[in-house]
Amino acid sequence: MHRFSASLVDRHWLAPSILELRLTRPEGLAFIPGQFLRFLMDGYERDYTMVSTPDAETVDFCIAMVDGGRFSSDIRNAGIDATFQLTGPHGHFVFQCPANPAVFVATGTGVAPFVAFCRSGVDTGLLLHGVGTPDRLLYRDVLQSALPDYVPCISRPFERRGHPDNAFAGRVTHFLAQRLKLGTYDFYLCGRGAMIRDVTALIDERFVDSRLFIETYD
Amino acid sequence: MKIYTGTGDRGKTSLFSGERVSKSSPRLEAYGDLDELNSVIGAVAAALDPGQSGLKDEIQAIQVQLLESGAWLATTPGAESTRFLKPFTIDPADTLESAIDSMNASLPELKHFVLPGGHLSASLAHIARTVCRRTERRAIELVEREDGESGPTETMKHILVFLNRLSDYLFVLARFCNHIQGQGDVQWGG
Repeated sequence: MHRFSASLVDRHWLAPSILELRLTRPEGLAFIPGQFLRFLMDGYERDYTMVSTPDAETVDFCIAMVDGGRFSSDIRNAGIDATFQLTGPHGHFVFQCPANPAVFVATGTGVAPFVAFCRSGVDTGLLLHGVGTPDRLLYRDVLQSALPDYVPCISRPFERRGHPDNAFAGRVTHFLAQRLKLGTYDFYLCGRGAMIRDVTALIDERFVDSRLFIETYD
Repeated sequence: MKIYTGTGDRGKTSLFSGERVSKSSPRLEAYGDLDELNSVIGAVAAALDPGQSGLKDEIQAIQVQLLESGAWLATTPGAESTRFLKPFTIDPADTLESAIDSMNASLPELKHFVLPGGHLSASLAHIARTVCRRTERRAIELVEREDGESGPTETMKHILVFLNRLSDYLFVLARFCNHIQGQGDVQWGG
């Protein structure tokens, strides 16, 4: 693990309340897609997975803004060229040599490691991206063009026009219970603890002998 | 980081290499015992006098090695995830041998059987020794069941040597703890 500094290059909205943050690539930083960096802030720390590839000129993150959140406030107030202290790379949530067909399951900004996988050449597997509303589907073009099976799972009622034909109305857990053929898979789950817990229960019940890789955001 | 995930509520857990396994599987038994061993060794360190900081550091270094060997036990041999694990070499076993020799040099020659007991730190070291022997047995059972005729990996061989040497270390440590407390061994009168 190393300590780095990086400066803010760009910051823009990806979706309502979700920012993409782009920092200069720290010299000497080597990582595997799916790993994260730790932001050392004034009195607290935050972990974010890179959505960029290891050879990109910048390191990019997608960050959900939280009302009253310290990091959200610090990021909003940071000027271009502001410097951040980081450590990393951290984490083991990386694409493994496939033993079974891959199923990637994300909720919200939990899609970040899968964006990094796709940008780094992963081109096989089913990706379920669970969101409340279609305007929170992040990196759709990247994911859709890389993977043969990309299914947005939209939990609230939505207007189908303008959204992918294959969008599933319901949560990722409903899709897995209703649509995924029984079998053995390599599951990669990234999102909040409740989703991880519910999907793990389904895997134990329906997809016995599957492998399971987990990254929890809480 | 939340401590509870709820992903182990149905009697299964995930190995570091991704497989879902029963919590009663030999692999879980082995690294569960390793975890118990590490906890008891922590109690030995906690029972030492404040003046024994050098010995405490030595024991904490062993605890780190136990954590590292636990990570190997929690991973299917040959899995890609092993790239994240620190190589476990024969060096920790060699270090234990040096520590055993160093403590032994200050102890009276062993001419009798000793009863586990004496000072609290020594008594805990004896408990740690017995847990270590059980951990070693579980690890051997795991290797025999899962590696079959191919035999253990080099890493697993090093872990088995480390566990074997560690129980010797803990026996000598128990005697050493009594010695530095001025109590001597509790001798078997038979």
